Amino acid sequence: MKGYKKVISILLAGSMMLTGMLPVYGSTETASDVKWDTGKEDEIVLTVINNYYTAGQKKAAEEYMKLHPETKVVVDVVADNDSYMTKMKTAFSGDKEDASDIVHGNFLTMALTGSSWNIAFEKEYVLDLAPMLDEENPYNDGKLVRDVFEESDLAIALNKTGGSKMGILPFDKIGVAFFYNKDIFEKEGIEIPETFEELEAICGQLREKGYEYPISAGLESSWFLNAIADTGYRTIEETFLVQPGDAAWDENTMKVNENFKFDEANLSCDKDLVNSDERIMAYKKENGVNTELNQTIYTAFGRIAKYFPENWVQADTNQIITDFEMGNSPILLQGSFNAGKVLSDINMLPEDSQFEWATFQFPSFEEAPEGLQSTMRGLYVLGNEISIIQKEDEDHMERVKDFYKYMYSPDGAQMIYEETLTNGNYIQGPSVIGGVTLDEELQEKLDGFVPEGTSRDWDNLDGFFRVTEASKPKFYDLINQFSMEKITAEEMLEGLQPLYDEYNEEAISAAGSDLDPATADSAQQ
Amino acid sequence: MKKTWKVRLLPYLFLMPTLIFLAVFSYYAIGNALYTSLTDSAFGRTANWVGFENYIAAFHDEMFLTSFRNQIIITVAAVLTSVCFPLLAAELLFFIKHKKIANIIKTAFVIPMLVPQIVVILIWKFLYNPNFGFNSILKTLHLDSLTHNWLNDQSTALLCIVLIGFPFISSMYFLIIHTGLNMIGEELYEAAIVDGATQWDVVWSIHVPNLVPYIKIVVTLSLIQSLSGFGLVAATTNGGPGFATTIPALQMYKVAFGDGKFGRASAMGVILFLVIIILTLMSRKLIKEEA
Repeated sequence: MKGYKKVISILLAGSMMLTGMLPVYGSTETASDVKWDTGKEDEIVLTVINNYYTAGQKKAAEEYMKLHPETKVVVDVVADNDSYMTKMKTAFSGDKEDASDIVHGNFLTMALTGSSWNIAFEKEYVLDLAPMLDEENPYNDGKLVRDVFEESDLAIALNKTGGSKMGILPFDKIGVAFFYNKDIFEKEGIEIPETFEELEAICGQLREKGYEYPISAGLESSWFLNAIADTGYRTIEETFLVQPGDAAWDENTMKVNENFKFDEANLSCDKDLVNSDERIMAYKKENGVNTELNQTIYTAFGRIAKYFPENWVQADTNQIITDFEMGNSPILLQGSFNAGKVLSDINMLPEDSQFEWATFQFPSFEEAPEGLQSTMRGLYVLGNEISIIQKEDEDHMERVKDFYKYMYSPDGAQMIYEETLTNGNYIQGPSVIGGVTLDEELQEKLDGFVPEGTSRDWDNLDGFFRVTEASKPKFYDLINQFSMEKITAEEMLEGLQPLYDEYNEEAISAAGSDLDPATADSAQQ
Repeated sequence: MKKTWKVRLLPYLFLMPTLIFLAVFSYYAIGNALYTSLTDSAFGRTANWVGFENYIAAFHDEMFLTSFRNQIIITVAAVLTSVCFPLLAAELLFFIKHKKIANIIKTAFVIPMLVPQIVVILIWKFLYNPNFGFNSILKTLHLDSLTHNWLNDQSTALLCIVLIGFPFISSMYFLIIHTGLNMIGEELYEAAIVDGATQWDVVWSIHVPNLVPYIKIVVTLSLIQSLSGFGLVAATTNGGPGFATTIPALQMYKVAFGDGKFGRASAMGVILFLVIIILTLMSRKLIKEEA
């Protein structure tokens, strides 16, 4: 008996020693490797919008704190987009050093710099993440941070944030498409539309059959408008690019801009282009919003928007999804970030209310209106745009970067995805971090969002939502009247013109722009 | 006996902490808003003195002016419902002679007050949901033609907001008026009985004149609450559809925290502040004269 106890004791002591010698799970980092003072406690704050990856990020924070107990990671969850932007404004009104450390970069720039990443870098709000790409990621067996990304996704991130600095790293991609109720389509004898004209026709048929609003749509529908705008603006895309001789020109990242002309036979030909904020501003100032091209774009959009619900532009996303799930609207225009929600909601419905659904992409024109090309490109862009706030405390910044690397490692990202789905939160779309996999059914649904080519962002030029917050009620009213066919596209754009001008004048003034791309400008202090 | 200076000073000393906090947290904020309204203070920029430019801009802002029209409807409705319904409820309760039953009813009136305002708003939002709430009831009654997208229809949105809280009894205003009724001396009722007064005479000749100070308080409180708050509109329609339910306080909030134009928003706030003061004084004067 005594000998037996001795063996057990030796085994226990041995296993304890071995455990102590093993590196911490998921990390090859040791206390001596890290670039911050492990004897000092510190807190980093990740501020996120409710529901999107929230549970996953909280789990990541918990696990990270087990590895680095000296760093407390706080996940600060904000209710919605508007509150988030308000929070960014108030946080940056005071001392930047007290603001959150990791934030949604796109909302930060929307709130503080009129969506200009260049101003965000100039005012040192966000950190340039490009140098971090060539650093080791201790949570990925010491591989470089860049190793988990496709070069093309890194190029998208670089272009999205101004072309010379990188404000975000890619995490996932989002797409938008038409969801459709297969059972209703079958019952009503309706085929998936192959063309824009067919989509218009089936909306008419569905309305005749008693579906008052054949397409349930909300603000996400602006992407459909954007896809239509893309068929027009891409024909003059070279007008909006940084050119040799411009102050913003960077030979390394912008060479593809030179002598560019859009080729409809190659829908991805413009994916690496870098826009010039200043050239776009100059174009907007010169042409305004009530142009012939915009009239054509909105007229085409109106052919479908008249089948949207009343006040769709201010509709609550949950409401429009419910309309689809209850069978009131056989079609839903939505983003991939709600595919998981729709899937789980429908699976939770009573069996006799469940239905089959799938997605179809924006259909191309059979006969494109004059000034537009036929092929419609969808939307498939980076989704979760997470940035690091630039601060002066180097020790603190090292901790923030380390946690960021943890989230952007294959294990970290996989954990965020799994925990998010387990808790019923939304994932925005498929991950772009190599090694992250999803459940087969969800993956199949998300595959339906991948378009043939990705349209670029033209809201700036078609004027959708490009008004000040104070003018938004007037803008909503114009869009509502237009969608209900009370006014024409031309009348709508005429009403939009002063609101658009006011917004642009403020943007030009904030950027300190002289509208001459050859000279460098400084943002207004 | 002559009071010493120490005794005379004592009440002021007790009041001092409150006054200091009031000065720091309220009057400083008002003063700062007044100053900011005369600058072009905006997010991320150094503020410059611009005189009355923000006030001129506010008076030229179509949206701000239109929002006052909506505000008038909401405020008039709020004041009327804050006075009429609680008054009616308090009167009905007064004439219930069975004390136990009266107490049960009073408790029933007061219990819903314990529900947070935002919960009440969300419940009503659910009732206005096109797929549930009132529309479900109407469909059950085969009145499908009366169903509406209540909060998204320009013709119904404002009315729907006004009706939130119906029957408007469970509020502090009911308690104020009820207390007022209980404060009326018994001798007046005894005199009324001697004079052969009817119940209507009691209401009209005893209750209403004696309740005037309480009604004045209710009018003032409901007026201020209606004009300065925007939570109800923000949580239900956020000013939409279009600008059908936009009100000045919500517009001011959007200018401040949406556009980051603190100078312009402060000017709007000062205008709203002046409107509230003027309307409050006017309403108090009006009630006083009528009384």
